[in-house]
Amino acid sequence: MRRKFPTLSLSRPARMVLLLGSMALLVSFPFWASRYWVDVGFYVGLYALLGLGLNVILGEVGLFNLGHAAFWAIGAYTTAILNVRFGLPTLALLPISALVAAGCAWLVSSPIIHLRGDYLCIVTIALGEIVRLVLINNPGGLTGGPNGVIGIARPAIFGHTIRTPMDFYFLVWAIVALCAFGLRQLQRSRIGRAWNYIREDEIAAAAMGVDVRALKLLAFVIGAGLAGMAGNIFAAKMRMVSPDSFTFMESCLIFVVVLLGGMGSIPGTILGAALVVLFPEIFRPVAQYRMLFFGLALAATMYFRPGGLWPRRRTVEFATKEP
Amino acid sequence: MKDSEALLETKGITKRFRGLVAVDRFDIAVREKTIHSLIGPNGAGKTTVFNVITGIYRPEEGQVLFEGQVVNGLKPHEILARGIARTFQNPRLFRNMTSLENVMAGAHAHGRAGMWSSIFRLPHQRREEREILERAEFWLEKVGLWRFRNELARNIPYGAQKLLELARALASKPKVLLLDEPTCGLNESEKETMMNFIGSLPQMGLTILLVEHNMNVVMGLSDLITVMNYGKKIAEGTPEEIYNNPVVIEAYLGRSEGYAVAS
Amino acid sequence: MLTFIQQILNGLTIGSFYAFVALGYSLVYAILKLINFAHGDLFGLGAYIGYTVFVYAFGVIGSRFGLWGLLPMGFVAAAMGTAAAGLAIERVAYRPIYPIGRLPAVVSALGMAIFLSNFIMAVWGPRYLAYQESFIPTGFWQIGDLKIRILQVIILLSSLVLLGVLYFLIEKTTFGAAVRAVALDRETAALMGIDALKVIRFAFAVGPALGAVAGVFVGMYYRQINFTMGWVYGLKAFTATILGGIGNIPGAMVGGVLLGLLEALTAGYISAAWKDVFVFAALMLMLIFRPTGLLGEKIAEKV
Repeated sequence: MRRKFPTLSLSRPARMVLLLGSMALLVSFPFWASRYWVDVGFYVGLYALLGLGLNVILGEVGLFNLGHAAFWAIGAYTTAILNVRFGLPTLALLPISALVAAGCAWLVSSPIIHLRGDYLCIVTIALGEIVRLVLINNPGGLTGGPNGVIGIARPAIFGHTIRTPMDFYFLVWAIVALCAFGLRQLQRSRIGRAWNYIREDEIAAAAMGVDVRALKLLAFVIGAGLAGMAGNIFAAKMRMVSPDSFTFMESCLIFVVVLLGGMGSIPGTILGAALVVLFPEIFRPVAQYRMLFFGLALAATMYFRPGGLWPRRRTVEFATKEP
Repeated sequence: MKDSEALLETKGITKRFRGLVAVDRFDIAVREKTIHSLIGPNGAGKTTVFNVITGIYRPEEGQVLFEGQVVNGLKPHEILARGIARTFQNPRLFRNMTSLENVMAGAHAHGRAGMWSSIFRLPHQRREEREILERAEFWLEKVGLWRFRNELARNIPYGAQKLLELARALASKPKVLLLDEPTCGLNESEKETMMNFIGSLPQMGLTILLVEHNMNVVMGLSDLITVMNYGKKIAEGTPEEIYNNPVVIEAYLGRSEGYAVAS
Repeated sequence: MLTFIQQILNGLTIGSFYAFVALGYSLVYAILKLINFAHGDLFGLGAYIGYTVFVYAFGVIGSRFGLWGLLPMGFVAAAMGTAAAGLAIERVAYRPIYPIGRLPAVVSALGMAIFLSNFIMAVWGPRYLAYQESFIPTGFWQIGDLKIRILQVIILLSSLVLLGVLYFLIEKTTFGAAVRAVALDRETAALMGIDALKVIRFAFAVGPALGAVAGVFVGMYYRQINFTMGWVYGLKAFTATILGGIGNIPGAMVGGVLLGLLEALTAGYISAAWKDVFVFAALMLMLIFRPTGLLGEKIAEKV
């Protein structure tokens, strides 16, 4: 018999307090933490953004995507190439990278979107590898091969250059906050519900009028767009991009971010990002063996909390009747 | 008994699965605001006919016509939008979502709100959400499942699940409702509830095509019955005509020398 | 012409490696519908166990039994060690999770893959380890430009034998029928008196064992091993599984060989750098136009 672990169910006021408290913590953090930890905070934000994008594809719709790093790479390289070789300003490239990644997602997903779960999984893995290999092979001299592209300019907004870890921390978390808000609105709309219907039972969803193909594509496009933005921010912080940053392992990590937190759960995904980034930090004393523990922890989490650590709550507010 | 004003009809549809002919040049014409039953032994092809009509399968031959227009070849969600809704033999509910959310699925097709209007909660989107919610609440209550509104679909009793699927289909404002064995697995009192509910639907303007094994239900509700066996139509007529039709009796019971179908 | 034959030969050799690993994936997937991500790393583990036996036991055993006595021992040790690891992983990380769902099982498999590759790194170190010449058959035949290594012949012959035995086992014996039955419908097979657990254990012992054999061969063929080899081979072998039709056991063999041929021909005639891209692109095209694979899968959904 599997033991049940207690779930915490919070009332509305308690949740508001929690939300405001975490936001206060988030905003104040760079002012009292050390530079090193602010940097870690940046990475949590970055993986949160990547996770939120994949959460739409995997969490809401239930599509196994193990190649999400490819969209991240496309966003990063778009920024790198357009900035270094064509001089376009980095911050302006934020929406452009998102659009390019989203566009690529649309092009590539269209012929494969109808594939069944496991097959789609393999195709996404293959896509991730193809993107990475193409980047390494340096077609037309664009991508710089294994060494990548260097010399990306810092983004500037209203004259202020985004340079320090604290600057980047706020940049990434601002984007995360905006995206989280937008995604939450989507979740509670006709589109969000339709995504969930597809995840639960594609055939029944279609029988109830859901345009399954169009909505799956939409999920991919949105997920890729968010990853593209993450790519831009990542490129701006590192000032260089190389294929090594966008491996299959990274796609797996982002996948784990979504799974750990709870499929379709926005706070869960952010929590998952925190865990994935903090895990190696906490285990730094046993640095050599920390990935060992990570692997074990994954298996253990699936046994004890398969629904994720902060699963999605399902309620609907009522229009006409009293509750 | 063909009627040129049939709301839904199939003309000579044939569906093959790699050599097995599941449906063989099958015709049926369903008249508006009637309850038309499709019966036959297990494996006769009844659910396959449903799947062809609703676009899950493409027929190798023949046509499906709705309101006079050809609809085979359309995708399932387009067929729903035209006004044909269905339930499944084993309920296909959205198990990890609440009952209310399940019924709201029926209302999805008539919504228009897209991504941006949803994110920014534009006025027309908010109005639409409210309508969807009201319609879902209406039907959930109509089938008597209001108390389960916040329960996950997988946690409610089987009889309630069948009703929930029905409510979901009704929320899509259908003109024709295809019901696949709606009383299957229900106890006597649940069967009666279901039967009465279905019987009340034509008065609300709905047309019903019903697949059923329970003869009480079929005889009690139907205006017209079509009988299938081995993918073909073998008989058609009113309940009285079918009740004593030797071809039908033989199909169900085998050669039995005038043994009447038990009531 | 000779270059072509050379590439074919290389392709068949690499294809055997993929076929061995692909078989393991296919067996487990057929029976459990689980993509065992850890499988690639089990292949790597095999290579490392073989290495360990060859290097450390060389002195003791080699002097007694010579090279041809040592080699089989290495293989057997690798196969048994890896089979044990496979069984352990199944017992600890998968069996408790099957009833929970497919996605948690897949994530658990991912976790085991991460664990295993890092375990290898922890025990043997992150650097490349070299299989020394002393225990690799290095002879070869030369026909003009064509170079046939004795090792290649050994590999191809062993592949034929092992795969043949497995094919016979699965298609022609009673136990094989049990395996196929469980693959088609585990519950019904259990109701018919088939011990599903035995079949599962078979898959988790034989699959990794075959992978281990391939691992040792790979070590000999390329002369070096690294703890990341599991991921790379695993991924390609899995695409071979899909090529042949997932869950289809003869298909995995065919898929593996085809993949090897495709890779060798691309490397030889187009470009070594782009070979992997071509292989993955071929996979994608395959899935788009013939999603059930070359030999077809055996799964249908009733509506």
